[in-house]
Amino acid sequence: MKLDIQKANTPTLVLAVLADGPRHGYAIAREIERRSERALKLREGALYPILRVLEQDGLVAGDWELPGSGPARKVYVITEAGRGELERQARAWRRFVKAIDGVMGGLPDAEPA
Amino acid sequence: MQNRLDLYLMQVDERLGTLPVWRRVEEIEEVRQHLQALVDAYIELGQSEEEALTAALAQFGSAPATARGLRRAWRRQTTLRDVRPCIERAFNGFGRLGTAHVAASLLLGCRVTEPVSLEGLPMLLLILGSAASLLAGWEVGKEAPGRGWIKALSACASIFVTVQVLTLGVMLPGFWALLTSPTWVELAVQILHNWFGFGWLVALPSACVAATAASAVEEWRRAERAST
Repeated sequence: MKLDIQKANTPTLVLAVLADGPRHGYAIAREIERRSERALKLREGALYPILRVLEQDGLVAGDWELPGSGPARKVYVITEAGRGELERQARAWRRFVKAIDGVMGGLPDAEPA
Repeated sequence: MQNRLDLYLMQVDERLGTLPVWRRVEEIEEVRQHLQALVDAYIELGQSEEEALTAALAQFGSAPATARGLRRAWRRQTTLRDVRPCIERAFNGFGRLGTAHVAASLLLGCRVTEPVSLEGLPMLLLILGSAASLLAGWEVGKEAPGRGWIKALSACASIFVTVQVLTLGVMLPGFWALLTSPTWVELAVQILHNWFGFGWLVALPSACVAATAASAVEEWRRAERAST
């Protein structure tokens, strides 16, 4: 089953991906897909407005880089402020999941493994 | 296939009208690279070029939706709540030369009822001080390519309100002297002396012109960089 990513969560996912190293937009989308085992569905055109907002807030820095061959590509790097924000969001998310688990814990999984 | 891809990019570009040129060039280039990479991936999976492009466009989202998101992000960047860094930059501009101007105004203010000399330190300070608004506008314009004048207006207006209140005591006798000045030299000096009094008519538009110019130069510079 594919899950639509909630808009509010996408910036955190982008930060999480960039925490492992610089990437360009397409690579960010592929990494989200890979880590979620293709379960999370992202409208990829929505990625760029999110990257702009993260840049404006100083959580991510983007710069055009010239690879050995081919055209220049814009590569994004997480900043120190971005790492701090990621930690805060991760803590909040875990609290949320724990709370929901507490309520749902007794129920069987919707999809058998 | 290339025609459909170009058409999509054109549709996005058309809807990015409010963004400055350099920004549009960058956005379109990123979208193009992303779509091209998606198409290549689908082709590797065995689809035809046409099928790959159809799948890539579906995965990326419609042109209006893509453009809307980018426009919204740009608006967020250029709203007045983000004017603070511009005010800081404008204050930097004033900090360098504005202080000299205030000092010149005060020096000349002491001579309101005496023959006015246009030589020496007072004149130098006055000229340097008069450049303050231009410099402040320039600083602001560099900060906000594409919409520099809006931010210049907000940033400079906030500064002028402060400065005018602070220099009110100096301005009032100056206005009176201006009205009763017997010679054109005194008149000219009093006009300069009352720079802040005339700020709304002279300095503020000057700052906006400088900001617009700086904004255009910055926009052109970034477009050049993006195109290379």
